[in-house]
Amino acid sequence: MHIFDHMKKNNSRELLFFEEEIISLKAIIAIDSIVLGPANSSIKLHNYSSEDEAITDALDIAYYNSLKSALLRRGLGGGSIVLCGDPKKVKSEMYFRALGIFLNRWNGKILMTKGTGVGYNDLRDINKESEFLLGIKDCQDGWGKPSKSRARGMIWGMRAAAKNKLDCKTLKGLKVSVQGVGELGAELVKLLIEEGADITITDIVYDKIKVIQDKVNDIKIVRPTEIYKEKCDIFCACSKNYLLDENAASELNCRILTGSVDKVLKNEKLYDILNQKNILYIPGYVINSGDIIQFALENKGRPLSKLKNELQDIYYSTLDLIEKHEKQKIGIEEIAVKQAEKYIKDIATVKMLK
Amino acid sequence: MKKKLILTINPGSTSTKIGIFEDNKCIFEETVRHSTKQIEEYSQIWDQYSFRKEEIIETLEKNKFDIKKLDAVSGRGGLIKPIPGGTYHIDQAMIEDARAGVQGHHASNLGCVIAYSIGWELGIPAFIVDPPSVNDLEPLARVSGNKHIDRASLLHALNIFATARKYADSINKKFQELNLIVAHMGGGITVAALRSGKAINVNNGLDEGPFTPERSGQLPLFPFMKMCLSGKYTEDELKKMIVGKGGLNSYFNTNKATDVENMINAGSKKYKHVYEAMAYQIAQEIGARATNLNGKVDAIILTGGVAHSKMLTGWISERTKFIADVEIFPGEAELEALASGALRVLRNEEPAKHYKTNIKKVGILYWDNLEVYVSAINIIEDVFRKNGYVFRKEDENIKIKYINCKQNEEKVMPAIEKFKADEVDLIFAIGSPISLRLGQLLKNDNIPVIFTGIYSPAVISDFNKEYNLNYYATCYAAGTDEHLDNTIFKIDPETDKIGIIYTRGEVQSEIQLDEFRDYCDRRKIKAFTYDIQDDEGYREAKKYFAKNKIKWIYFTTSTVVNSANNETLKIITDNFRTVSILEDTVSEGCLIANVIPWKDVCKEAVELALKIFDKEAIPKRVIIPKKTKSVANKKTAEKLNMLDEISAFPDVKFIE
Repeated sequence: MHIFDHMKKNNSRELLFFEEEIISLKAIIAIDSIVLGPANSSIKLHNYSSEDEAITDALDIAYYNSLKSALLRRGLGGGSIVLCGDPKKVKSEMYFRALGIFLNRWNGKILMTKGTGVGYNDLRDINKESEFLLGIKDCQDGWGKPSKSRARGMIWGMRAAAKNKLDCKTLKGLKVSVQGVGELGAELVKLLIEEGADITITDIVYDKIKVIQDKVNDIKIVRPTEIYKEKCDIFCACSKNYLLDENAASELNCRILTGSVDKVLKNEKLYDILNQKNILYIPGYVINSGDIIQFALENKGRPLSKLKNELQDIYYSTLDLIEKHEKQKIGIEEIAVKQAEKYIKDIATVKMLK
Repeated sequence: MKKKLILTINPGSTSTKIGIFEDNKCIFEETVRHSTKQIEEYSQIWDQYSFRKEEIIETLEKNKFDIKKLDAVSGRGGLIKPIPGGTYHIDQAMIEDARAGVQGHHASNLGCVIAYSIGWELGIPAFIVDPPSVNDLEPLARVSGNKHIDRASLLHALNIFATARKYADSINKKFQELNLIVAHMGGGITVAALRSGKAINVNNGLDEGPFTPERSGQLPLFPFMKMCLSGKYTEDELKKMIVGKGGLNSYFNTNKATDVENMINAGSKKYKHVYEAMAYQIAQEIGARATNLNGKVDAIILTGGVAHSKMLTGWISERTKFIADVEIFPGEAELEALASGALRVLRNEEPAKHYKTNIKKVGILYWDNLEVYVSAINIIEDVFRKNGYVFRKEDENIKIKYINCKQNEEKVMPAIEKFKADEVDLIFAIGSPISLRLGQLLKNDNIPVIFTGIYSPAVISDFNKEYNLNYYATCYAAGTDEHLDNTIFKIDPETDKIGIIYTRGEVQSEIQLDEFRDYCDRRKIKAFTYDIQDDEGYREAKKYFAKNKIKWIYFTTSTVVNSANNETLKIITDNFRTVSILEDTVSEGCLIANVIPWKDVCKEAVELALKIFDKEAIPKRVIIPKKTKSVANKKTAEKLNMLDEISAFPDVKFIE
């Protein structure tokens, strides 16, 4: 697909490319919107099979960052920084310092945040050259770690879903299946255990399971192919976008489907299967934006001690969407997108008054 | 037969040996050495998992071996709970025990988790073979001499059994037929007496038997007790004196037998004295094992790395050759043994065992001594056996208890109470009559019940839904759709109306009537139903169906068929094309039926039980085996002039 077709398809605003051959740095920066504020741009390092794939991913991430921010009415736009390369080969101090220098050119319009394939050490290297980073303060403990905020936000989102669909105030005693226990999935599992949920986990990489298994006794583990069939109250997809296909959907044995990934479903046809099975589907981006609340706080220079309370916004926004979905008989996805787009449009109009 | 590719993994204290085998042939072998820095970085052996696994994968990649081609992974089992020898599936319980170090922490504990992890990611089976905790000690050998302590067996099972097999092959015998004493001599030394392929006695490799290059072996108790209570040493220091810094290491600060031999060759009498004492103690242990075998010993085998030492094996042979011939197999064949164990399973030569730390208990409740129920019990037992379960034998890992209700409803609940008192892990309830009754009687019971051989899922859908029953079921009747598609509509696709005979008040018959009506509605077929309560009903039914020009009639249940005598039944079967649900009812005169083989029904029930044992996910509580077969009554077909018509379908089997 041509680059402009890509942008048109995603209604994206800017797409930037940067290459520094000496250090094998190839970056694609997508800016979806800066109406609400500077673009919160997750950095993702991945060995893409094609440029097309990388561009699509960059635009997708940027779009969902906008959407999430707008749903929660936070003052951040949406962007992404996609780095193309094999993490094992390309990572170096210079690689990330160069990225920092390059991003400085936008003078804060693009704010870098941690995404997949990038570690905190890498962010610190960027930080040696650039101050336009969010989510690295106190990142080794407490509230500073964005994956913790994200997981805590998801717990609020799940509580909202459980309240509506299962008439449960908390997640205590509920059966939750977690597909994918990487950094975020593992964080979520930890919180779900604290909540008193009965958890089943899987991952295609056994090492990730072992990390949890070594810490928690009696956690149920199933093969990746078995997880969909596992009877549960909440199925939480935490591995990758668009993974749940028709076969998986027909196997699902849950009452609520959600995830840490923005888009759980492979295509929209699957809504019918979920409706037939009476499964409440909450797109991941509705509940997985705890990190955005944290970034917005940081960006405004407000203390992170506010974060714990502000994460509850996800509970209310999720509940609100579910209630609208029930009243209007429209999918939550459609309502969420319309609501977010309207908010961005309204803010743009207001800003024109300036 | 396609050759099997097996990755074998044997973690040692500072290295991990790996091998790739094509069947029994080693096509790649390497010792992946881990730096002291890497090893020391982790205080727990278990935490060495990640870098060891990473280095194994890197070594394979570096040697351009595509791991996706592997058929299985076989790892050295660790110090898990005592189990009989053999090849085992690796499961979560085993990994949990290896992590916890239920019998101690040792690098071999990593063998199962690394193998499992690679198997998990490639979607191939992972096994352990003859782990050190193999415990086949004969009862007398388990008594320690102190009521608070039982003797446990920890031995170099993998190499001991592999070398015994190798020796037996060399003289064209099965090793199970021989009485052997095998001494594995490496960093640790264990001397086992093998009878009928089992290590009936062996010194515990950690704290019994001869001293070794780095272990103290059995020490005089009082002096050691004094050291323990002196306050001079920590528990860890004392443990190190026994394992790691004991034996030759304690005398000479080296755990290498070659260093000691070099000193002896240079003329050191002190070194010779201690080294010969080690041989003396090994020979003494061999002598003890000979008494365990009542002196009937076919051969003494010396194996392991230290068996390369001619000096040591010479001393041992000299002292023990009066017992039996001494054979020397220097080195270790552990990787080969890991591959062979996995290969035997992949080739279906033996079943992989399940790691059971407790003996499983199962209750079988059946309605009466009817042939059908007895055959179900036989099939269930057989499938358990094929899955590595042993019962009614000394090394049993499952206990099966049986209760016959003798067709007495009053006996059902007391039987359940008896099973509960016996703490069974699950109950098989065999046959529809018992299932129907039990389904109504059980309330909020956590004990899993597998209703084996119920008619259809509809039978248990009628169970009291208020209660949280932990039940599962296997069905013997094909679903209505499949049944009718494989009978009436296979032979006569244009059929637009069907008669149905049922009995009002018979639960199963009414359930089936509903399903049948639903089928007809969906297919836009006219259904003519007739309720038969007695013999007279058959005559009336005949008139009714004839009047409505019905060709095909469906009997809802076998009970409806069986309620009539043969002559009465013929009123219908000789005049209409009849479909029934069981092979038995076809024998009695019905024209045709599509049935599920009883063997598959019972086999699926055991598969459910195995999943319950292993706490695996059970996607479907009610199983209808997929394979069906159609049977037709030859005489009835002849009477109805349908022999040629049915013969056109070779998959329909005629019965007399």
